[in-house]
Amino acid sequence: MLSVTVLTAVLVVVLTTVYFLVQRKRVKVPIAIGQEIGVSNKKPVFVLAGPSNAGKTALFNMLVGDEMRNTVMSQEVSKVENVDDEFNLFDFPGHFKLRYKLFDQLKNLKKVSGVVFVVDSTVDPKELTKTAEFLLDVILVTESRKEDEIDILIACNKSELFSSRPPLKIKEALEREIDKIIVRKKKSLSDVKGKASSNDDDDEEMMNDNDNGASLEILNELGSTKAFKFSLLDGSVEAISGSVSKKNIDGWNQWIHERLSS
Amino acid sequence: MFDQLTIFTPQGQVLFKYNCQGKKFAELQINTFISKIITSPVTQRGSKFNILNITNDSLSKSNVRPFCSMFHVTKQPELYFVITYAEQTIDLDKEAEKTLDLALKLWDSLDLNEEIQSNLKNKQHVDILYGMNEDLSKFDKYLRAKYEESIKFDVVNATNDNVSREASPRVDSLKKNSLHAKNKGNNGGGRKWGRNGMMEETTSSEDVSQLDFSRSSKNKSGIASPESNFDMEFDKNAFGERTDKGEFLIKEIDDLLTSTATANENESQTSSTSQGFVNSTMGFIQRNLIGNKTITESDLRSVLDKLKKKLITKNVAPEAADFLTEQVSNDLLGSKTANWTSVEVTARASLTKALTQILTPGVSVDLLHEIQKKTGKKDNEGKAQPYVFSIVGVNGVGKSTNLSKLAFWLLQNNFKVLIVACDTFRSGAVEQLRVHVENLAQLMDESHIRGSKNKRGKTGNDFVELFESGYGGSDLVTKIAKQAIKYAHDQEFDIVLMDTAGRRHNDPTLMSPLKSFAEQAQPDKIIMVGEALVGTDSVQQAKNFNDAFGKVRNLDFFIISKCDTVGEMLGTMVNMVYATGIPILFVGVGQTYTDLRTLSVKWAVNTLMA
Repeated sequence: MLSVTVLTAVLVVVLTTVYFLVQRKRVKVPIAIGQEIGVSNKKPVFVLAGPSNAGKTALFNMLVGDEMRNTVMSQEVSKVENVDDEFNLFDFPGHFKLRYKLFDQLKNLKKVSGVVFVVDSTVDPKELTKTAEFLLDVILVTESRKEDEIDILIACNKSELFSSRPPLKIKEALEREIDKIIVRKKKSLSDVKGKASSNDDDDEEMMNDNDNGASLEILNELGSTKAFKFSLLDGSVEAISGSVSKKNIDGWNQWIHERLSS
Repeated sequence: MFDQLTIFTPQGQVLFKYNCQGKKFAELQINTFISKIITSPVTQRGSKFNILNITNDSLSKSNVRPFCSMFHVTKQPELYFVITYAEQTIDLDKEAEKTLDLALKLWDSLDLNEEIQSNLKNKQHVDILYGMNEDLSKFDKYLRAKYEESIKFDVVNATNDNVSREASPRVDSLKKNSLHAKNKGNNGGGRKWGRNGMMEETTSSEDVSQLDFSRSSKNKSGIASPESNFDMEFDKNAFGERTDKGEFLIKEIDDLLTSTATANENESQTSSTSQGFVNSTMGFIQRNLIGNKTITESDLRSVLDKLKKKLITKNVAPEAADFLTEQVSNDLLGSKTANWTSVEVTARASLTKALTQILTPGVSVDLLHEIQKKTGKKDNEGKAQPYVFSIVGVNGVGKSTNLSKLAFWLLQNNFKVLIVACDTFRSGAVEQLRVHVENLAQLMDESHIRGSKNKRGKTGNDFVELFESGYGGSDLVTKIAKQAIKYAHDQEFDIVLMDTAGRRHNDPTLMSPLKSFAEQAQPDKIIMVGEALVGTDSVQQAKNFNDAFGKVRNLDFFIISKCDTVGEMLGTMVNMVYATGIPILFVGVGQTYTDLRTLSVKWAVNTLMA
């Protein structure tokens, strides 16, 4: 009877120690919640991103279930592991306010093989500024991941519509817009640096600085040459047209499978 | 009559859609709804469900007409039940509530939630709707039948002028109702019928007003025609005829609904049996040590209290703190903690998420781009319209100071800036701006001599200039504003910055001139400066200033000043965004012209959570 009590006591002590150790470690991670984060297998990860109403969730359904379904604006991330037993797929909401979810996870996810940036190809190239802004933000994150090159596919959706533009035109327009945005970004006011709190965690501040520093560095790098070109990036950028509603996604599928085999 | 009824997941999958008017389902309307929910999650609470009004000012540029929506969000799995209708009236609200209730009950009784849950758990079927097509179509069929029946019922109701509506109408009571109405006509006052068709009470003033509502809605929806007697006869017949199939289906649905209701009751009785000591100890260990625990309300209560207190010490207003903790509890209730994670850590992470979500702007604001776009458009004479900012706020929050900081940044980007003294009220306001303009002129051009006039005979130099017109009443303010914009256009200034008088937000006589000012001056951006020092009152300040510009105009963004003086107590930021859903663009962090920074959400959240 005595031994059982002692055993329990020891067990409790061990558990408490482990708990505190684990908790310490957890608290430092600023945002890491939700079932979405991380994947349980070692398969490559593909990420669907892009502005609202471009057709990300529809494409997601198509890739996962080969089915055309009704969709509305997403508010949460969708994740599916082992699509065709080959890769993991994430679908991120496109609303401006929710984009932090994408950037957070894009920084931390392992084995990201490609970002499928879905755009609505019927949008007038002159109105692409916001889209270009978003794409630049994505590029800044993917390029800051030193360990791996992440390729980007500009999936020009809705090609079946009369007013759709050819993918090359869209890519060029985005390139031009991004160039202008980089110039503007350098002129805008800088972010607040964490000095407001005196007893800030040293580690955390370091991390913050690294974050901002990295993207700033890349921005400078990209802006140093005459004009921004996608070819300057580490990862490749391709634009392929397709249409979810007409089930014409072969080009994109092929792009994904090219990344799988390599 | 409603527009649309739909059920969807936060991931954007539509489970059910129904256009009540038989038109094509319009995703655009639902997307507008979702977008609004995302940008300003604080909604009006109806008697039973949340109500969200989409008005004109939130609909800039999209071709959706204003509408009202009532919605309910279920947990486990998270589903949105949304009903949209043209406008908010007492009648329509009641009906919407009833229909939403019906949809929810029907959804429950068909065990659709269980199926979704099991699909979510099962790793094999990646699709949450796997194997549900049959049940979904059943739901679709039932709901349509039920809904159409209630429409029919409403038609009869409307012709009878006023009948209190019941959730599950009996046909015989209907018949009685129509008989009553037929006998007495509809020229009498207000009458009310109970469930059994007996007359319950006679007119009271309230009833009369209710009667008016039903009349107006009747006329608008156009269901009922004025010749009510004829109509009623017709409807009664129609009702009698459709018995064989329609009624059978409805009876089936009613049976289904009642059976699950009783089953639920039984279940709740059994589940409330006593829990042993062992269970509670196990719960404690799971809660605090090994994790992997399903979070219940009692687990969360103390943790949330703690978090709320913490937020309040950081200057977050109690109502904003309540909202945030509610978000956390919505997020976590019923979910499982990760291994080796306590409920508290999970709740903290969830709060971080909620704070990030609330502080992140809902639209991207690229000021330089917008300015370039506007000033790039030249008219016939080769002159462009200036880009106009106007700055509002309570007294002493730092409007003039932040205006000068903004001016400095714009000057550095090679824009020509005209600073306008629209504060014609406080003594010394114009002189204060003159000092700022002198400083800025000197910073731009070292050879500038203080106190000298430029070639147009004004204070300042080629880059920056002061537009002043002395002191006076509120008429003078709009006059100055209009003159200044014209002057800026003629003299080819790119930017007009208008400083306004500080005003107390709860004084209507001071606030009302803002509306006409915004209408006359038509500023491209209205900026409110709020100071980080202010506490709970910031919620009301932001609300009142945002409402002051009328229905068609809102504030565009906030500048939070004096952030260097509060240390970690950045709660004001949360309060102001919570109250209005309008983003913070800049924060003031010091005394000099360069101490204006773009808000970094991550920085703010980390400071608040520290």
